[in-house]
This record gives sequence, structure tokens and C-alpha cells, in this order.
Amino acid sequence: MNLDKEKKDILKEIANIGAGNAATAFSTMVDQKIDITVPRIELMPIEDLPEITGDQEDYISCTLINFEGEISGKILLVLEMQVVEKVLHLLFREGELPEDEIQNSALRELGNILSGAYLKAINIFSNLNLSQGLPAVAYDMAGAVLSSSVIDFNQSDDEIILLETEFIISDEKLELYYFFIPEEESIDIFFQHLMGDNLD
Amino acid sequence: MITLISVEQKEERKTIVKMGDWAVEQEDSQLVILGLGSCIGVALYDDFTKIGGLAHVMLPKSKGKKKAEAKYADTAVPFLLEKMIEKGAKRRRLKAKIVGGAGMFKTEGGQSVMQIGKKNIEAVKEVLKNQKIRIVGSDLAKDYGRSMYFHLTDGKVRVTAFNKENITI
Repeated sequence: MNLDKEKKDILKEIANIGAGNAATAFSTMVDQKIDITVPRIELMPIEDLPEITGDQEDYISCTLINFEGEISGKILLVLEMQVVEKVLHLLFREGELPEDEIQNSALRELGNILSGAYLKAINIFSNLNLSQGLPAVAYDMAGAVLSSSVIDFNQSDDEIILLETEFIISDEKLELYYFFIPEEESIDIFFQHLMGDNLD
Repeated sequence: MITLISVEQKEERKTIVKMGDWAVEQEDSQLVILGLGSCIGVALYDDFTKIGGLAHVMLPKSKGKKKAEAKYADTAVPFLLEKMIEKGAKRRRLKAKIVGGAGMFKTEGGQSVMQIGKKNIEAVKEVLKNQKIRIVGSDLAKDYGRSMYFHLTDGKVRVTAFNKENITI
């Protein structure tokens, strides 16, 4: 796979627009100001994915959403365990947290809403039609979760493109990792749509 | 006459085997996989020479790919066998222990979304059967991640997971 500066800039723009929209939706849900970091674009061997958040044995939560349509891929929302609890407190506002299944449900819904906002922004920007699948959630070692998240990609290449944004809930300094991982053939479709005849 | 015997505690060398990778070592070594989800750790051991090999398998079939042999169940096992035999292991003495193949992600209602763990388990079992290597220990499937520590001094594999008792197979 080959990514020159121009293509990287396009992907950065997409991540920025998507994440900006998702942050607005998130902010409304929790009634807090949400900052987003400058998106990071990385072309990496699939084998390196389990280490992106740090230690492979860190306990994390990950919400996974598949999207498909004219392009397909995955969205991952990754939170360290101590952040999960704080985010849940924000979502449920006050009092004690409800039982586990309702917590899981809230995390799926959070993933759902953030992804919906992200994909909608991409749709407006690129005019590509996208639909998102049902969110699924896993809590476990980062390595086990992240390695399993993209393993069903049917790529000829062994590299993936990762668009990473961090959401920071300002008052709480909580960090949420957000990964947008398009499938390989989708990348070309992206560029065809956005660069038209300039594609080399 | 007094003979003094100094007993030296040998430090085990530790090799971490990443996704799609493999390693072969002998004695005083530990081969480790951290955070196995739907992937499978295939450990082969020759208890006479104490040669052990570990492959971190990601997918069932290679579809004829020539590189990254350890990544796919169908190529990983013959490849690991070859590397171990080169180092001096004997095929007839090799036994297997396999760990992993979980279904990590669940949707509302607790359904597992990806069946890749299950397919990996089937593929690894089949290729070991074809190679006539007996599986003498396993910790497979379910819905949680595992780390495995394969000790080449005795061939034991320790498996750890969050909120679970450690087990040794």
C-alpha cells in the first residue's frame, strides 16, 4: 500500500470531520465539553495493532462496529477500564451504576451514536453511502481484544490504515481512543471519489 | 573429602511471540504469547531434547500464500515442525498443546459476532491430526482473552486470564 502526503491529508480531513461530528454528539449526551486531538494516520502491519494502546495485557473495553456500503471497514472505540467507569457515571448522571448488562448496553449505544455521527460526516463529505452494523462489545486484555477485532479482514496486504483520534472530556481529562479502519479496497474508492481524475 | 557443588539458578530466556510469528528454542527458555483472543497459540514439544516451538496462528487457511507461514493454521504446523526438526527434535516425540480461539465480541443478547476463533480451532485440530501429532493439553474457545507461557524445561504451559484462576496444562 502506498500513501503519499496528498492522500494522507485527505484521510486526515475525513478523520477530522468525522471525529468533530462525533464529539458534538458525545458532548450533547454527557453535557460536557469534548476536545478532539489532531487525527493520526498510520499505515501499520496488522501484527502491531494489539500494542497501539500500550501494554497488551492492559484491561480495556472495546466497542466494535462494522460499516459497509460503497466502502467497508471497522470502527473501534477503546477505553481503559478506569475510564469506562467514569464515562458510565457521566452517562447515567448520578447515583449508583446499574447492573452489568445495562452498562454494556450503554457502551454499545455510545459506540453506536459516535459511529453514526462519524459516518454521517464522511457521507456528507464524500457522498459515499454507508450503513453501520450492530455494535458489539468486549472487555479484556488489549492484545486479545484488538487482535480479534480486525482478524476477519480479507486483505491481500498485511497492512492496515488506522485513523486515530482521541476524545478528551475536558473537565475530567478522560481519554477515549477512536479508530477508523477502512478495508484495503475501500481506500482506493475513497480516493477516486475525492480526488477524481487526479488519482495516479 | 568435601565436594562443593554450586547450584546455579538458571534464568529462563523469555521470547515473546507476536501475532503471525513463531519461535523455536531449547531448554531454559520460555516462549510467551500475551493477549490471545481468537488467535491460537500452537505449542509443540519434544520432551527428550527439550526443544519447543510456538506459533501464533491468526487465520485458518493461507490460500496459497508463500510468506508469513506461522500466520495460518494450515502452513504454521508443517513450518514449525520443519524448524524444530532442523534444530534436532524428533517428529515421533512431538506433542501439542493449544490455547485460544475465543469469541471476544458480543452484541446485545450475548451473541458472539465473529466465528473466526471457532474456525481457527477446527483448522488447527485438523492439521495436527493430519500430521499425526497428538494434542495432550488445551484451553480453548469461550469468551475471554488469555496469555500463555510455554516453559521448555518441562513442556508445561501456564495460561492466565483476567478474573480467572491460572491453569497449567
